[in-house]
Amino acid sequence: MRADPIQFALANEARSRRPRAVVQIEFDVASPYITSHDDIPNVPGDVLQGMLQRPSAISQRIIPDEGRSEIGSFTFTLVDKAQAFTIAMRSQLQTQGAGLRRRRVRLYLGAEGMDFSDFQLFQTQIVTRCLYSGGRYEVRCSDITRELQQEVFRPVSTTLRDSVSAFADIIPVYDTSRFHMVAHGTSYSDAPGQTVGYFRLGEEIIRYTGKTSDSFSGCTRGVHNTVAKGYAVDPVTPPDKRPKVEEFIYLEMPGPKLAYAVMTGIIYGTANVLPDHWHLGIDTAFVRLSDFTGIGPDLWDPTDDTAALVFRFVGLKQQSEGKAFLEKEIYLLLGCYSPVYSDGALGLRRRVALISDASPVATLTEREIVSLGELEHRYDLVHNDFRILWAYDPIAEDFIRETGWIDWDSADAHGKSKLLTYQFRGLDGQRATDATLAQRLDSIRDAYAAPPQTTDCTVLGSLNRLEVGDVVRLSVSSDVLRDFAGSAGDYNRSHEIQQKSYDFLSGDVALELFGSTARPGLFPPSDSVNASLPDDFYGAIGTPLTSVLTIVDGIVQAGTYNLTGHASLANAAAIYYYLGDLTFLDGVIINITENVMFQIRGFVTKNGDLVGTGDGQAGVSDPGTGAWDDTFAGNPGFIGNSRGWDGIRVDEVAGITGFHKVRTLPAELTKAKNDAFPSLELRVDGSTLLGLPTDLRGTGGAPGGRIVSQNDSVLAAGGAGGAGGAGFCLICRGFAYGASGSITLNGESTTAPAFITNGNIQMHPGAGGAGSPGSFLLLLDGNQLSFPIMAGKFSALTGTVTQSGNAMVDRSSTLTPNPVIADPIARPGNPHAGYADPAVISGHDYSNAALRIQYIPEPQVPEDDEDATPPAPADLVASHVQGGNSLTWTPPASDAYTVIEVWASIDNNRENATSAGEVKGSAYFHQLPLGGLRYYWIRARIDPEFGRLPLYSEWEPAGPTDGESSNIEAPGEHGEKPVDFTAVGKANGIKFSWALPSVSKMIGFVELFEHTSVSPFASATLAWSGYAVGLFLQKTDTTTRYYWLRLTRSGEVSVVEPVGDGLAAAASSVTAALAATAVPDNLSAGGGFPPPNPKTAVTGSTVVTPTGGTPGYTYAWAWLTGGTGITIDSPASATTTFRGTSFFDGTRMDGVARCTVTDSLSATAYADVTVHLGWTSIL
Amino acid sequence: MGWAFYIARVDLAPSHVAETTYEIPLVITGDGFQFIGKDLKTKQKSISGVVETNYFGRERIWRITLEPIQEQEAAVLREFLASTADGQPFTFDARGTPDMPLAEMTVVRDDEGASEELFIKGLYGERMIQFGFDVREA
Repeated sequence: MRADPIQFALANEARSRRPRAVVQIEFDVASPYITSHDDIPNVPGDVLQGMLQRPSAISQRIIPDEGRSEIGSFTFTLVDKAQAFTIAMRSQLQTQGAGLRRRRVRLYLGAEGMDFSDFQLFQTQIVTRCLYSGGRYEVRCSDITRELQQEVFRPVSTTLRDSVSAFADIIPVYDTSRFHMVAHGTSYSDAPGQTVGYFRLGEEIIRYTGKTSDSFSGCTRGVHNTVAKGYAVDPVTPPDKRPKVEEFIYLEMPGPKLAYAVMTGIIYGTANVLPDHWHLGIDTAFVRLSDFTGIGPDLWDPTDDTAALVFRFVGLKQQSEGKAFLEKEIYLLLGCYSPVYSDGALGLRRRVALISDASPVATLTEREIVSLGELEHRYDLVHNDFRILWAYDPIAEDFIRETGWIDWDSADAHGKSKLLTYQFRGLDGQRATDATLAQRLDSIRDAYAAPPQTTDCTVLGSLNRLEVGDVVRLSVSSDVLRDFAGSAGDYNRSHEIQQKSYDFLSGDVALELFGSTARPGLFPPSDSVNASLPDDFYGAIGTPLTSVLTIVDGIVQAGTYNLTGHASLANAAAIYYYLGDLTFLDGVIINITENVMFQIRGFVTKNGDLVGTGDGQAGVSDPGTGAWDDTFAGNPGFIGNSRGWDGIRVDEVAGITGFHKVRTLPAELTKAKNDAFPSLELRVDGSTLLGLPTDLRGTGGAPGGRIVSQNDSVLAAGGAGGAGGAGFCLICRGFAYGASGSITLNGESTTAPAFITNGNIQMHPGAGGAGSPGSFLLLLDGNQLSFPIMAGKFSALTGTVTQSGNAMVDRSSTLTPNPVIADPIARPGNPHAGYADPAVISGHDYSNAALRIQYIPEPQVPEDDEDATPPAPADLVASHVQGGNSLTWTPPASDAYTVIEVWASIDNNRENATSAGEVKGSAYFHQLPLGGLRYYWIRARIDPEFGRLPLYSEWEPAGPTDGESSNIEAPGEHGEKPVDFTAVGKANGIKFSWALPSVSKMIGFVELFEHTSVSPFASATLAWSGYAVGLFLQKTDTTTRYYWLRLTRSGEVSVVEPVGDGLAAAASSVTAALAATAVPDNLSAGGGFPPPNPKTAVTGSTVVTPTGGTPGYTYAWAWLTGGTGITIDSPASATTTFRGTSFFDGTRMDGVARCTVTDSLSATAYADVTVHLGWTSIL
Repeated sequence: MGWAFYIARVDLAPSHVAETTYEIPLVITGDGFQFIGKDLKTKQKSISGVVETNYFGRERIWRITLEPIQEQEAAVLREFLASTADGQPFTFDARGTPDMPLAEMTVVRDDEGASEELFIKGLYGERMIQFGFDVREA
């Protein structure tokens, strides 16, 4: 509701009005002001007097379930007296080069006698059409949201100049001038705190930190889940045909901050801006920043970008218009819409929650309603079947995730609705979870879980202060309106104004109203969490309840306790905790002030009373000073508007009769921050619960209207406003009311001050605005908790406004002294009071609107977005057949995967499995020439496009130790392995023997492994390999070692034998090493002299003596070197001689003979003898 | 007797010059000055009968009927009526004279076209014409 200054309100809301209107068309110079009358003082600029004919405005129309609004319009006609308008526009066009198109137009409203400076701005719109006919112009305008209908996010591009490798950090291109880097804040998951840019080359996203005119530098390759590649450029290819390098637009911020940036280009809280083609260029004067920064910490905490839900947009491009982007991608998900204010500014408001019970700005009765259209039960607008596509992949250009959700409570009562599909590109798997979606959907379900109702309503022109998004309460008798969806009796329900039109001439204010009919059911976010908050959340801060309450064995004892809270719910002084189940006995009365939060690590049973009536935001008093038309705002609370009773303005006092001509003097409306408790975006981060509101106190009312004399003197101050109720938040692991439990957070009531007497008229000032109730937030920690019944247990009433005196029956009246005139109609009696404005709020029940119960979402860890994985194959069966193992399974649909991978392990542990092969089909034969037990797992694989990594299904079987055995019936028996493996210790060695299976008898080799420990086999080393059924393994010690056997062929191996611990074995004994010596080891002999020749030379004997080894020696002599012509006489004996024969004197024969001694275990030793034979020369 | 000042623009009478201001005497019949004004206002009435009124002003319109004149004297009147038909504001006084104005006001023509009624008068069949038109206070 528009807040009008007093003097304007007096004129605008009077029953008898003399309206005036002025339209300004904004030009740089000589802006024309077109007036409806020529009697308006001090109109600035070039005034076209009395030419304005019929201004009428239609506001934007909000469509909450679609998250969008239709653009509002404003049309006025003007009489082109003496062609004044024609001349003015022609002059602008010809001398200033300024056309009428898209000029900003402002409509000001006032009244006869009012200076233009007191006129109120009513509309600000933009010229879209101009028509002329019959001496009249008709100018049509659209609201500022039309400015949002510009294209945004069209990426710039260039081409690759030269070839680059996959590792290049400098990328040569032709022109970088239109590429811009953007400063990242802390909310960015990629390159936070850095100033970087991104571009796409092929299917790769590349981040850069610098650029020259023709290259990007500091490149990080393959970001945003892409794979770095090399790119080849053919030097003969023309530049414009080379690989395209396209800007990659990436934004990651809290939603409200992002929306503000996209509208204005300004990154809030920094001096940084977005590139021009990333934003809509809306002047900051036309964006109400305070709406964005104050939207609530669950949606944006301007001091910490990471504290609220962060929107992540990657690869934005070619949005047809910014308006659609803002509405569908941001506002809808935030549960908000963008109102257009009278000054043309765009704002941000939450959608009204729980509309049927929401706190109104005015109550419309038969007194205000001119006509009421049909009330339609909008069955077509019931939504209980949702499908949300999210986590957008900019490379694949599709959504990766899909979440479906059905509100069965709604579906059971009203039938399942048509599927409502939302697509959210900004919800990213790195940032959001299913719990995020569930909470966001709650803001839609508030209004659409039950059939909403719509109606059209025309009200008196004095209510042209109503605005789109305002909540009004329709309160009419059942003779006027009947509704079976509500309770019996008169119709009394809140509605949201979704569109408003105002006709200046007729005064008609036409409203499109929307209302819900039931509170939606509450559903836990998932199925299996006992508690979302960790134990150490409780008691981390605050005061133990044991220090302020008498608690015995978890039971609060009867008594009255006073707990002081704090203005901020986040302050430790507001927090009280208890670590266990807690029961409040009947007779417990806990009085709270400000905001109080109980954090109970257990189940709460509430029998006693918790009271916070009038202990919230303070009411405001009127000091009775200042100008007569000064007003004083109340203290806005979390829920609940407040407005007191009007005062009286005396305009004239008739000297003789004492008649007072008076007008009602409006009181100030104080709007709360919310019409009803919105659905919160909660998140658990470690031991911290994020998204809590900081203040749940109810509104403190503003003063009532004053009594002002005809001389502008303040005769009496308005009554003080009432204090709001305290706010209360309870976080616990279960909650139930006992029979006598209650929570009361009512606002404080007000009464009118004592009357004053002016002349002989008695008049009461207006009672102050009543305090509105504090809000109750119940957060259930654990989704298996039941939903508590709150009916009749929670009281959230506004105070009552009790006004003394007889209210004026009209906004202006003549008050008569009593008993000068007897006419009871003209003289309602003394004392008098101001008019009962429809905006007075008294005794409203917000026990539904001021309550929000939510489950705390489980702390899910957001995951990186991935491509959709293929379905897993099923029903894997493995069986042993000749030559290998045969596997069969049920594959996914043929187009759902590329291949089935088969993995095998020799033990039932997937970590040890290796790839056995892959196939497109339902069977695979694993060739194992030696056969052998294997454990198998299979999975489907997709070889994705776009250069991504492959995608895999879940394993079949799923468990890492649940592999499918190829020998199911008797796992552990191995027909293919060696059997009958035995070892016998012998002197100097071990004798092994085994038997081979039939297959391995034909093919394959045997491997003997040895290890110093009994296990594991994996540490054993190969001691022998060959084909045999037995082996003597020599040993030089008697140490026990452990042995395994297995068969092998072509890389395939059998299971080892033994399967577990190795076979222990050792040499039974060890003898000394075999050695041999020859004595002598040097023999010589001569041929003698004189002739006759030939002569024979024979050496003496040498004897070889072996030592060590195993007796049973053999001897073998042979020449090691030389020995030509020399004969070894006993080559197989230990003792031998050597001889030689020569015909010539002077001959020499030499050699080294070696005797090889072999013992009975085939050990060998050597003894060498040097032999010299000579024949003396005669010379 | 009344009079008007106007700027001659079309259907010029003999010897008259375009874009020249002329004074014309207007002999109005006894009942030829009828006020037919109206208030410019809208009203809304709520279901319970509360009425709100938007009052924007009033329209002051007079229907003027002139005494019949001989046809040969009608040229100037025709010039006056034709020149003011386009909404030209002109000075008008239904009762006074330029020297002694009684109710001088600026008006514009409000009719959809002046009326012109032909009479045949007397034994000699004189042709007489009676003009009528509406003016609205500008």
